[in-house]
Amino acid sequence: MPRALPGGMSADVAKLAAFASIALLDLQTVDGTQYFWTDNNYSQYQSRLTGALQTYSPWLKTVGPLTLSRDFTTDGGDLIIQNLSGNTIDRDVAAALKNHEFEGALAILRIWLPLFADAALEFHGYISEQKPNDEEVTFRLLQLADFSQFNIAEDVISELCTWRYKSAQCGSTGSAIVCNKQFPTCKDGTHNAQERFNGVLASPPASAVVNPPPVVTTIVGAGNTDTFAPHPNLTVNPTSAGTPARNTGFRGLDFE
Amino acid sequence: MQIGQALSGASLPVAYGPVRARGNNLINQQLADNSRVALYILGEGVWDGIDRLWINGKLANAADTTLVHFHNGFDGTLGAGLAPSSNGGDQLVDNFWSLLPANFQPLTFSRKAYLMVHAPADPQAPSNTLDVIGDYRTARVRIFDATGAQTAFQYSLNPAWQILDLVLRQMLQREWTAAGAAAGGGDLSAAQKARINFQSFKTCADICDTVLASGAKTFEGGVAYPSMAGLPQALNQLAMLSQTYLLEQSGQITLLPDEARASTFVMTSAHITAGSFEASKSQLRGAQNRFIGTFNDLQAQKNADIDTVGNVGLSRTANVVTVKVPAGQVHGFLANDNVDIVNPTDASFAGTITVATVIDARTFTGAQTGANATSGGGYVGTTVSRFAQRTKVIDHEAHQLAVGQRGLALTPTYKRVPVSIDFGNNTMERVERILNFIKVRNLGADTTPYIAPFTATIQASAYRWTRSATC
Repeated sequence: MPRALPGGMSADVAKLAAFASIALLDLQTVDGTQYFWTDNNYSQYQSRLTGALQTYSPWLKTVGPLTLSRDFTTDGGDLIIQNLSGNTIDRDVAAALKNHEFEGALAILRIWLPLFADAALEFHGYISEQKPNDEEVTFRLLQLADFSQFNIAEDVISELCTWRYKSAQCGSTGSAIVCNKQFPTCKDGTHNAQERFNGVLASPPASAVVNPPPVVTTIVGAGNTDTFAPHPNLTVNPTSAGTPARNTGFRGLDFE
Repeated sequence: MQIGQALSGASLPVAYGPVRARGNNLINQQLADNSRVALYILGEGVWDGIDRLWINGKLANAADTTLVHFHNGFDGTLGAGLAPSSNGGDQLVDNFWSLLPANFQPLTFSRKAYLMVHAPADPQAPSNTLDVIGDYRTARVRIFDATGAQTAFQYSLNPAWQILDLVLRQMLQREWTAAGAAAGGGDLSAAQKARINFQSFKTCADICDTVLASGAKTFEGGVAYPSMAGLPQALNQLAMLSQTYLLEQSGQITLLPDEARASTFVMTSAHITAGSFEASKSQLRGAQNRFIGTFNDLQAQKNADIDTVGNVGLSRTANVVTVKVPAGQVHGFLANDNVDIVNPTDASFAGTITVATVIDARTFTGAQTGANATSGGGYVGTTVSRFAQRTKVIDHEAHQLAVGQRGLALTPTYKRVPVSIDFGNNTMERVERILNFIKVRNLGADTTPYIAPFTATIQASAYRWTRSATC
């Protein structure tokens, strides 16, 4: 059954062999600037970024090869962009690199089949390792779900709060612009999120510690001093007596 | 996995499934009556609850709010203040703070699962240190249907949902609230959901949940990360535990089961670049052929077998189960012991009972809700013996022999190249099954004569893309 080609596609098809593919790259920097590049001639295609028709500039020289794997190594490949267009003072790509940060830019690469108006492959990634020279710029295109850049159990137990100020976990709607992550700050009226404070505060002065267990391997946080000063009532494991206290504010009793 | 103690600067543990943990002891205050108030940070919330708790080696009643308060690790309630008002089950300030000197600053420990105990003086304690150990149900995770509609935010032993939770928690939804995650419909935006292939996760979750003839689920268990680790390592471990693999396809994070499936494309000579086909066995020389699986056993260690079905090893009448061990064995239990019935022929008998009466050295009873029935098989052991560190070793003897040449007139010997694999908290049967899968998948069938698998590389003209395949 005959199939109607999308508008503007006939000209492209006429230029290409029946199943030839082209590369379409949608790119958005962190500041929101968008670029649409192809290795074909200037043409309009539906963008994955905007969902609307966009004019793709013929700036892509080569794409890939992409290395895809089923283990947890990061998929990726290289993109080579021309750096010839523009004027004698400022070339287009050089100007883009100068004015916008491409590190981490969202990139959606499609291997597009004009005949079918469909993608044979779609790769979502981000840009890294930009290497410009006189005539071209090389970008490293890496898998968007780049697990190697993340850790688990990365939050630490600390006397300071580890939430980003005004994040969902912080919950502050206070008038203050910044937060130094300390409890008194969290508690004040301009932050007002003391219930969401996730730090662990310093223990009370040693005088408040009454008859702790006799076998203790680690005792720290005697008030605000950096000097190890166990309470007279404490029986301290000799191996740790006299060692400098860690100024952590913890009263840690290691039972292991 | 047991989470050891650590102090400031230590990682906040992340755990899935069941764990046995001590936690990070931040407060241990002896009061005038020689009772103690102690606080233990357990891990990143939201944890589900306590299964069992031992204080100074004795099983404690975790529901006794004069003794124990468990806080799941929700977000603190804004505006609730910091006055002690909670006996656990929320993230308000714990009432035990009121027992501490006034200069202790009460806190909510927002998003930290923690335990606060008020332990009475215990002259019979095995030592003069307070020892609190618990079996916990850890992270609640988001669960979805195949269309991406969130159906629950709950505790799960299913590795597929644990993988998805890691992806969400670490990558797609790093800033979230417990209330949002638990709300009807969940807290993911449409754009976030578009990054996940929910159909694939649901399919894998269903495979994991498939009940085998033994009554056990195909894949389930738990892992805990008491210190910082790379996300790929954590995902790799969970993928191994569920025989799945994770891909990003067209911008969607997709979990696929590693199982036989129908072909989706037939590659013929018309596709293959001439001369590009290569098949080799070059990786076999140093290949690992002894697979050592280490894990903490989720099942109790055996005290005694249960007598056979024919001898009515198990009998349940009026919600009381009678357990009989075979002639020649003794169970060794006392009244009030917590005992696990493991792998009985009738799975309805499986679970934990408290010994009510010890009839004789071979027979005891305990309360167990269920229909009247008889069965047998399996074994009994104490609940406290769960989480014992165990090891399963699987050898690929055919491969060991294939690489074991010693010299002229000498027969080959079994040359072992070991690899140790951490299976988290699991069961012997499941670890053995997964190890056998890994063994055969890597080295082929362990048969004589041994035919090692080939590794093939093919270049095909798929629109200038090069793909490698292993078969």
